[in-house]
Amino acid sequence: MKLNISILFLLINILFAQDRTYLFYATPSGSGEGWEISSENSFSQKFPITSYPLNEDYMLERIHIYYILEGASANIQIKIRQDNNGSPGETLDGASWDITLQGHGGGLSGIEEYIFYTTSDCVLLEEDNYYWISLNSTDENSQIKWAHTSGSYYNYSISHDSGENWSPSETGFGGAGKISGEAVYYAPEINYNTYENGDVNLDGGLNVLDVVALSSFILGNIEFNAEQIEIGDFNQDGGNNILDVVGLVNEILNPTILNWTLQDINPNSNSYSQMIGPPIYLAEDKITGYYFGKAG
Amino acid sequence: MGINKYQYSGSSDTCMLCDDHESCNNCDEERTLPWTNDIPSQIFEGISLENFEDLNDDGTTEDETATACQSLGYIWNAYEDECFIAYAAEIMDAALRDFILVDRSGKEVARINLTGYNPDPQGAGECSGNYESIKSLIIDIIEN
Repeated sequence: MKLNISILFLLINILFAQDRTYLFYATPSGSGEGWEISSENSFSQKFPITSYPLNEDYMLERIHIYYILEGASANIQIKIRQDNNGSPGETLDGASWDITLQGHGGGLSGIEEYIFYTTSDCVLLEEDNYYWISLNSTDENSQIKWAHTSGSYYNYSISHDSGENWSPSETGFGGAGKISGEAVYYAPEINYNTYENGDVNLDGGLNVLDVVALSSFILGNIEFNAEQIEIGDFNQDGGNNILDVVGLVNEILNPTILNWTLQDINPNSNSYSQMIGPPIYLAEDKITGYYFGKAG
Repeated sequence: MGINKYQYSGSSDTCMLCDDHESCNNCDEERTLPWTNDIPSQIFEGISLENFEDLNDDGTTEDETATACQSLGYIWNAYEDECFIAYAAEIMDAALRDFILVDRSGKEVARINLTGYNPDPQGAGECSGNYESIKSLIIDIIEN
């Protein structure tokens, strides 16, 4: 229990002021032009706009759209859809939001913004996929223009039946907006039983005996099993040769040790005013987490 | 433990340590974990306010100097107006907001950049499971 509380405390104490990860980012052109969203017209565009799909899993975090209101207010539905071979596909589970857009002045171009967070909806956008964001009107009296993007290199599709069927994808102005997500972390699998790189005699440490054994193997005087051959590839270049011996000797003479200490400046910690760092914690046989950032 | 990569001596530690939480909007109780300020291992004298023009015409050359410093991969300390390589961050080859886990033999076993993988359970972290994943990883390393 004490361990868990400590870990909880560790994670809570690391503050998480984050830079937002944008999966789509397109500011409005300012022309006052836009894609008509009405009972007759829905608009959808593909993201990411890069030639490669998402490079990891993301949880949808926030959607931000720029629009031009055609009446006093408008009831609009925003959806995130799967990519169906280059066209808007099925709506993702939980990825449909009904919003009411109202005017706030909009400036000279009449462009308004609407931002909402999706963090409680747990919408997963999966690695190696493209997605589509679509807007449609939910009643006959609701009409907006989805403000044009500055660039005209977006893949889009139009529907005239509230998103049941979509036109073939075209390239041109998109609908201005921003979509952000939080990348999903998958912890690496750690094999705690592997021997240290270079420990070819498998005795749990690096020393001159490993150098002798590796040299003998390279000269053909002894045999290694598959594990020893892998461990003997000290420089990880795919083979066993003199360069591995050189690297191993250097490591033995000048071992890679995380070796620094700095003075603890936190009056509330147990080590206040003491020098702390990897050598101290390793001597105490502890695992340690080092966070390089600004707390607050 | 935390190493503050971007602030050095001369800056205020108050809201980093949260020792006066009533004046800080980022925390509401004192932190008990060890914290340090990283220190410069090398100072680049050539990147100083005197050597840059005020391209923004805003009455200061700090923007230009800071950009030049950061574009070289160094750290600009606005409190001291100096361009640094940070000592511990350099040794650990750490990027901003890297969280590095070291096992009992001194080997790095995991590195998570918390900018990319937000573990904040109050944000999307609750959906992503990042908080639980990192917590489980720490427990796993401790138990092994």
